[in-house]
Amino acid sequence: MTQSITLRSVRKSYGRVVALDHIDLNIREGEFFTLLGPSGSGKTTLLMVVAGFIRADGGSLKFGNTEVIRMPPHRRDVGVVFQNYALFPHMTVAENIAYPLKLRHVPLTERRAKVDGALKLVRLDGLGHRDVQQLSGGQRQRVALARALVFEPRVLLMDEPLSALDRNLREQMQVELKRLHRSLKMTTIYVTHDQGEAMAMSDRVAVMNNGQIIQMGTPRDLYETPRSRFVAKFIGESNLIPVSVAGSVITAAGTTLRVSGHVDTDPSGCGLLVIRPERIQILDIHETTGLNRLIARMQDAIYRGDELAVYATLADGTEISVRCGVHHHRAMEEICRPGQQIAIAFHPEDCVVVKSA
Amino acid sequence: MSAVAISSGGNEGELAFALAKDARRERWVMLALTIPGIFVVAGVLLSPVGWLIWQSLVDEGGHLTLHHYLTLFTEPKRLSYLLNTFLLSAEVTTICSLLAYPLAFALTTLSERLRKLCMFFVVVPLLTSVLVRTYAWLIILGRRGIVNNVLTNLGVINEPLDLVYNYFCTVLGMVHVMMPMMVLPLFAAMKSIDGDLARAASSLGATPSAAFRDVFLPLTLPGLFAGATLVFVLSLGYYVTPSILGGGKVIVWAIFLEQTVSFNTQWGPAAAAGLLLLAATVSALILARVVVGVKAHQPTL
Repeated sequence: MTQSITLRSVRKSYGRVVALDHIDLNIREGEFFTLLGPSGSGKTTLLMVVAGFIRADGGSLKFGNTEVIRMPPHRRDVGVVFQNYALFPHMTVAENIAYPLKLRHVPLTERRAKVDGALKLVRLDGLGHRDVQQLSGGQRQRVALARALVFEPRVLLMDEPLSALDRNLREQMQVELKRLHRSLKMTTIYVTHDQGEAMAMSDRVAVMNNGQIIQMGTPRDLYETPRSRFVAKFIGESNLIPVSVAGSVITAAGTTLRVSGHVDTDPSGCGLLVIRPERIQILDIHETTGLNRLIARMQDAIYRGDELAVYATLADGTEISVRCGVHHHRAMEEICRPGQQIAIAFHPEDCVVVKSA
Repeated sequence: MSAVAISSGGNEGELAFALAKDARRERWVMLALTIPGIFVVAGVLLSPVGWLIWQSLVDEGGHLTLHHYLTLFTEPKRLSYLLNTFLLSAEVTTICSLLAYPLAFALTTLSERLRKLCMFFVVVPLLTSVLVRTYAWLIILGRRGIVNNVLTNLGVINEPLDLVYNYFCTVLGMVHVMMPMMVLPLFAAMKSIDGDLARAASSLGATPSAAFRDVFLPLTLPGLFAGATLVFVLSLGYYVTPSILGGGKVIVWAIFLEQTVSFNTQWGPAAAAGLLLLAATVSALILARVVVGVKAHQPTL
């Protein structure tokens, strides 16, 4: 039976290095929850604490209503999928998957049926007798998944499970993991440094840095309303335009801008306006608009087939990148000559202001 | 070579012929390179063994005979030397395995720097003469050795104990000499095991002892087998340590061989004894391989 996971003030240090700094989390039953962050952010440490491989310095960890922080990993009933799969090389595919059942003294006939069911679930029917060394990377990944799921654990933990696969296979496995999660409704914690993967698969994402959770929310929340420079930079591509805020007046390079999103500044009143490249329109320098409007100088335009990537600089030197959809190409090519003065325009609702530090 | 072939012949047939010639030439070069090695093996291994076989099969008059072998089997005392040699080697191998296994494991858990240091201490005995290492035990355990001195001075004992010149001391000395041979292959095997495997096992519900039994131990068996083979085979032919520390009480096959050589004017008896040990060693190895081979094959599901 799958369960919720609750962390209260979980902490862990290595000497003076703080790996986890008082982490609080509520992961709902059946949720697909992702820990996203750069390497060294503490995401893997947090996963290992939940799995029981790393002993926390303090705090509380509950599966459902059961406190498990002192419970050894073999009694926690968690399915773990490792980055390099960690399949037992001296066992066949079926033996690997049967291992957790064997440890639980599941009778032979039932064991066989469950192993077959798990193989079918990950679409490896009929490969049970193979040696794990004979399998491709994607197949090993599926075996690891089958082994982690076959004993119906309380929670499923995955540590960068797709990072060893090539790009096409990775995207295919993302779809497959999503399908599996939909059908099994298993509470899942997924660790990755790949924001695209996190966005594509998760119900909610926690962005981590320096052992702390910086921001938590749905992929849409994080993308559309980043609360810090770090999140804005880490998730998707962002333009960061320095602005000064005085009361309700926000100015960038002498131009007043309207922002209907969240505004947060340094004590001095400085901030960074976050605007996504696909939310910016490019206008002829003479065109007027009811939107926010800034003057820029064209640097380069790169044809990418599905979009036109335009690079420009503002008067203060801030670099701006813009992505124009296909239907704008022709018109754009007229305006977008390197060195030319243009105007960029964007909607107040697409803007947020974050602290510049 | 291929450049020559291309410029010398334009048409398909000539090129194919030239390529075949290149391939032949390459094979000859390879053969020429291995000839020195073949000569060494033939010169220092095969021909002496051949000569030994011949010596073991002829009598003083140069007639073919099985006499030398038959004497070995008809005198029970001699067979008991052989049996003792095997028992001693098995004992040394077992003790080495039991001591080296945790040591090798501990080495894998150390930090890089500390491990290099400890590795150095494991390997250092290999750089020291066996003779020196063996005599060191006389200094430590002898009647006026360190242990006896300390115990006498502390008043624990009145008379010095007889710690050397016996079977126990022989085993001790041999274990000491053989340890690196066991630690090194075991360490190599353990080092290559992905640490996540043990974690995976425990996440799947394995207690630490179950994870050891089901995952770690099976994966280290090849290393254990390699080390055990090395120690066992080296022990079978060991002469220095038993003869110094055994004090004449431990007669292993190598000591018996030496006596046979010095007591007989002829090579025949010693040659037969040597070949018997060789045959016994080879059969023991084959047997061990079969047993381990069977064991490594896990039952399905």
